[in-house]
Amino acid sequence: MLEGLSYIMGTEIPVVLVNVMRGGPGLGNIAPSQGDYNQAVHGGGHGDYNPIVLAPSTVQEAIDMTVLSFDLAERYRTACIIIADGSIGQMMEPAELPEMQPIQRKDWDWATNGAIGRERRVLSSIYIDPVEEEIANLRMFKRWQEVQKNEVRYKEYYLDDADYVVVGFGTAGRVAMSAVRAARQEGIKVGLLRPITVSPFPYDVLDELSQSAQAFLVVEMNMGQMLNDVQLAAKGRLPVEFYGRPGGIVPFPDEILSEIQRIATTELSIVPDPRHAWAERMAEILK
Amino acid sequence: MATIIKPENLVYQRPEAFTEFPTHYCPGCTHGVAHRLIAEVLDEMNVTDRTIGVAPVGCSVFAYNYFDCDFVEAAHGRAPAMGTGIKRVLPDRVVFTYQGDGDLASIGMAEIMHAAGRGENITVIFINNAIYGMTGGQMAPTSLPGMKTTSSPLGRDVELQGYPLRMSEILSNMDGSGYIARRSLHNPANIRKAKKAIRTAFETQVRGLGFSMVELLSTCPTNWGISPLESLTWLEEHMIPVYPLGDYKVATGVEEIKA
Repeated sequence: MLEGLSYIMGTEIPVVLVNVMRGGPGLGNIAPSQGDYNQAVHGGGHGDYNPIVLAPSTVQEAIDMTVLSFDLAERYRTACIIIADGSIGQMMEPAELPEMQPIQRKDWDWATNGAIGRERRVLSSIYIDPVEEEIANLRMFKRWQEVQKNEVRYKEYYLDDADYVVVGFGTAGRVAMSAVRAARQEGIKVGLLRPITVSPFPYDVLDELSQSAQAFLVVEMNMGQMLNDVQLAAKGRLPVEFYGRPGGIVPFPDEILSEIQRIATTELSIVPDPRHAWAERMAEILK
Repeated sequence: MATIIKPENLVYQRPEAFTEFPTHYCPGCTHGVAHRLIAEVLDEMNVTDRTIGVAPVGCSVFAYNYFDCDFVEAAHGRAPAMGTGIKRVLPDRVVFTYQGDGDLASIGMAEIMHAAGRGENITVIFINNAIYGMTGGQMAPTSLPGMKTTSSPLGRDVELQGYPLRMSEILSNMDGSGYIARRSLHNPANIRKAKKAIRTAFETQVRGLGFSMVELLSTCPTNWGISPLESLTWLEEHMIPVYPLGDYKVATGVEEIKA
């Protein structure tokens, strides 16, 4: 699949991809996971490219993002990937299907649909001359900067006075919401940032939050992948803690609540890889 | 010069479906012949402006430079998949892929099998020269038993490296195939037959009669390590016995195109 994605990005063809993530690596299992975050957000195919990546946390969001993804793919001539997980993929819950609507398509002045009454066109990702490939890479990056400027989307909850900020996308973000509400009832000033676009990533809002909050807690259903992007945004200003359930496990709100409680009551330090301490805590939990 | 060539004396000229881009093929290679036959057929059918070609990976990776129609460049072996997508979105267009034996019969085996199995209305021009050309003369799935290549320097040992794949025979067993033929480009008589088969394949597509493929036995003097002339003889003497020429599938309705 990634060979095809790399060619699509190199040829600048709009495409919508849906990856309902499962436990892995390898054949793994078909339980809900978020293990393909890095694959989607940070590439996987060869060469330099940046796709748009959307992360739904409800069936309704999955529907709405599918509509949005076609428009974004066409607008920027790029791949738009929806990363969901097995729980979104199989869940039944109330949702409204919007009216069918036409794709917001710019002129297809690049499409190879037959050179009838016009000059012929070629769609290819070949730039045999490295100088031309470099120019193409820089040109595509310019378009990516436009995407970063215009298309960052996220949801924020209880962030106005938050001392602690939980960051989670998709199902992990949805479960974290329950934990944040429970912690609020205990008087802990905690909020939630749930990225809708994990690519482009909401670095700016996290950068701002890192100047007022005391700690971030990243919750994912993997071994800590979005964690790195949150750390980039935090710029080492505050501790970034991690709690993950890899392998196809969905965390319970209680687990995240006790992480919030721990962070609110413990002296934390800034470390390059908070997963070491997390792995130790996990070993205790799994006993 | 222009005054010397009177229209009534003109017997040979660049097909209109060709661009003026000089080809990059080695001297004596039959890719140029195959390209020309396709271009002549597109001219005769007057379909160039509604034709979309799919280029492969391999020696003919730059095929898109030479045909004066829309073209897309596929990943290695994926041309039939791309052709499928284009044809299904634009069913009134003419879609053809141009693939070598490494592209079609090795890495692209899944794509070609399923395109034929689905009976996609696309035309595949399959160049079988029994070797990987662009990458330096390695053994292909179609290399002959005993054939020396850079990756079978002692000759293809069927015990170790298996037997040649006969794609026309394999694809002729698919219900979705409308027209499957093997021709050779080693002399003028066979080149004329090859052109007829290419025309039949494109007509099969235009009339919606299913998947069509023409396999063209071709030469690779550079990687075979013999002269262009010797290559033509070698093809005739060694390849044709392993890859017999003929029509392998002529579905109902295709008969009348041939007639």
